[in-house]
Amino acid sequence: MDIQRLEGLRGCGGAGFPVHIKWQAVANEATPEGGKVIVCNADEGEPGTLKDGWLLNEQPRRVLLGMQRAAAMVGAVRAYVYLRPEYTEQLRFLQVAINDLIEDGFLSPGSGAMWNGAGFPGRSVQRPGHPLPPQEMPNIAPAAATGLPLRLDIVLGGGAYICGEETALLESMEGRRPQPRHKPPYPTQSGLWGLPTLMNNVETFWWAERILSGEIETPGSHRLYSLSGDVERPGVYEAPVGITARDLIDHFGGGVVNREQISCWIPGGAASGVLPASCLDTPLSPEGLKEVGTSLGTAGVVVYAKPTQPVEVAAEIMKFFADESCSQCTPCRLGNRAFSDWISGVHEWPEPEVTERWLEAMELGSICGLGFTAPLVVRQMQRWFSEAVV
Amino acid sequence: MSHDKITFNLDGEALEVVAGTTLLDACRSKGAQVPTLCHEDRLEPFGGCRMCLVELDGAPRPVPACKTNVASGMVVRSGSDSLERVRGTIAEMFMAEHRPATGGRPNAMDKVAKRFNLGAPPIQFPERAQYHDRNRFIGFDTDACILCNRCVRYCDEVMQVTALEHSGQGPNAIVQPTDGLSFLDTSCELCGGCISSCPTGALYEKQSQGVEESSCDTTRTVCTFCGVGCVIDLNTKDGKVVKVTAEQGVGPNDGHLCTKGRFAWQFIHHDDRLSEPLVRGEDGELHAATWEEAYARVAEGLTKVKQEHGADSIGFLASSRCTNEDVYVLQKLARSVIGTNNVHSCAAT
Repeated sequence: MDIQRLEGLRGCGGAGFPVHIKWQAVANEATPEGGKVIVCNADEGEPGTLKDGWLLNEQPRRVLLGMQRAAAMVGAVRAYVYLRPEYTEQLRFLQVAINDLIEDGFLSPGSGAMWNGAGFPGRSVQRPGHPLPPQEMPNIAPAAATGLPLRLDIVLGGGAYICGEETALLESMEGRRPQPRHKPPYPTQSGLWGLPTLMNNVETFWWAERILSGEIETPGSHRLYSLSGDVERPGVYEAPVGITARDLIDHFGGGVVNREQISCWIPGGAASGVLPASCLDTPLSPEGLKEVGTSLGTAGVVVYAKPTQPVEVAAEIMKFFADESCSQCTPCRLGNRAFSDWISGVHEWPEPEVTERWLEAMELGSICGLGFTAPLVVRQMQRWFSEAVV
Repeated sequence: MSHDKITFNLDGEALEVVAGTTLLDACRSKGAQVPTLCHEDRLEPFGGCRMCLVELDGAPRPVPACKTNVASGMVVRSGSDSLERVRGTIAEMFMAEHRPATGGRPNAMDKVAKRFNLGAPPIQFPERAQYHDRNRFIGFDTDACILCNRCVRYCDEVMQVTALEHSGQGPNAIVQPTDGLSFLDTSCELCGGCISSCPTGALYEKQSQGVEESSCDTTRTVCTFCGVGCVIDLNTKDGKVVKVTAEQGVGPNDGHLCTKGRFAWQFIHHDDRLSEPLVRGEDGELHAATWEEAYARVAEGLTKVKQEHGADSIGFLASSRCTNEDVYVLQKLARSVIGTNNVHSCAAT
């Protein structure tokens, strides 16, 4: 019933899945030998997103407490923070926070070990240094205060964008090339080493802790917005879901640098595509952004002042996707590469019929979200800046 | 393993299959033409090429038939217009990076191009760096590679050698011998199984480079290098062996071969191959002789050894390349004529 208190909170990692449904799904799974697993996805890699790094610097204890609460509620005994490897400062704060929580009796003694996740280029077989599977680390002593066993360790990420995709992250933790798995089964049923796994974003655990500790009464009413680009005061801001980008930029960000005009902006991380200045009064909410063809994503708002051209921004995003494709499935590997070349002018655009077919093949044929949401960037360009793309 | 039957709906018809059957196998059993590139029956399903996508009611987007098991009550369509369009577009994507190989092996992309009536692709990606090393057997034409990972998985799953890897990501993703080394410096056993699993002919037999496999005559026979009895096909051109292949699903080897079976056939037409008996003369040199002269010389030598040192000072070792009948006769010779039980065949090990 405690899980129901989270109703209204949506995952803050990009997909926006209802948190209480995911937690309930893991809670409902039978506990297999080896136990259930909690993973905090701290592989913050979405361009324009910086809230998780900020949170781990400022409030790592609350993030970890969110994980601890989740473990108690779904019955997990192992927990991992999969940390973006560039976050070296955050790593130190995390280690301090973990030690404090062991002392305070929330985590089992021995917690805080550091492991490696696999990345690219890598061999398709295991290399040492990855988290030990349950059979090699079977006994977890109960934590002093809670009486529940919970071993919480840190895994340094593989250093690729795709490592933040939940199943690629699991592959990386298990020591293989971080290539997304086919779903179903979902991680809630069969995740790390085939165990039921609850994976949430850093910010999601942070909100969950604030909600479950009684600090917040309306789950999902606010988000942490990462504001960057050509604004006077870039940073991470807690603001209501539904605030307009204009308000966010003016009231929190101090306006555009040098009072320049806005050329275009990104609402929720690179994968949410580029919007024109005419959409600045759109509410930053799932519903509001759906109206203009996109989503709130990671709530990473990036502002581009003139004379930056929207097509330059889109080209950069598509090149990023092309470079970061794990190269497992064809539509993502070659589709992103083609659109990167077309949009940046390396190759001439083909007939619109071809463009449409290639977008469709990516949307329908890719394995994971990288492949099937990347076409959104092109479609948004077609919708808002049609003169620039074909 | 369960043999329970489950029923599902494929293209409007109810179909009963054994639980655990993949959608691909179910489609094929019904004759549905689902194209594949990364799938190979000897390997675990991969689901990377996306050619075998089928529509499944309730799924947010098409699912790979090779990687999806049939579940009771599924409603599946294997060949809608939309599916064919997506498959054709993915094939077109492959053509943007694929260049026909020069090794002479069959190329599945020809069939794919024909099925989807593909013309010139709307974009052509730059050529890859070519791969060279000193190994004599396995050639790799990188521009023909479509990253289906069949060779990598063959090496992992069947040979358990892991001499090949899928490395890098995005435009830089390639298949290569592990860590970019020469095949000779990896754990490669030069079995050439990767060649047999490659659908595009990117991997080929160096010794047979340029010989069109489709233009060869084949003679099915049994490899004589050891006692396993692998079924092989001698590929011949103008009456001479030019390549050895093995068909999947045939014989005890199911298309697998070792480095000897696949690559060591040059002795057949080699200049150094003995075609008549040679006997060493008084001058210390070998001279051509008749079989009678050769047998007489062997008998003379063995008799002398037996007289001087006894029968058990002689041992007979049969080559694994001998037939059962050969080996029988050899032990008969040892036991009845020489009088020793010192007989062994290296096929026993």
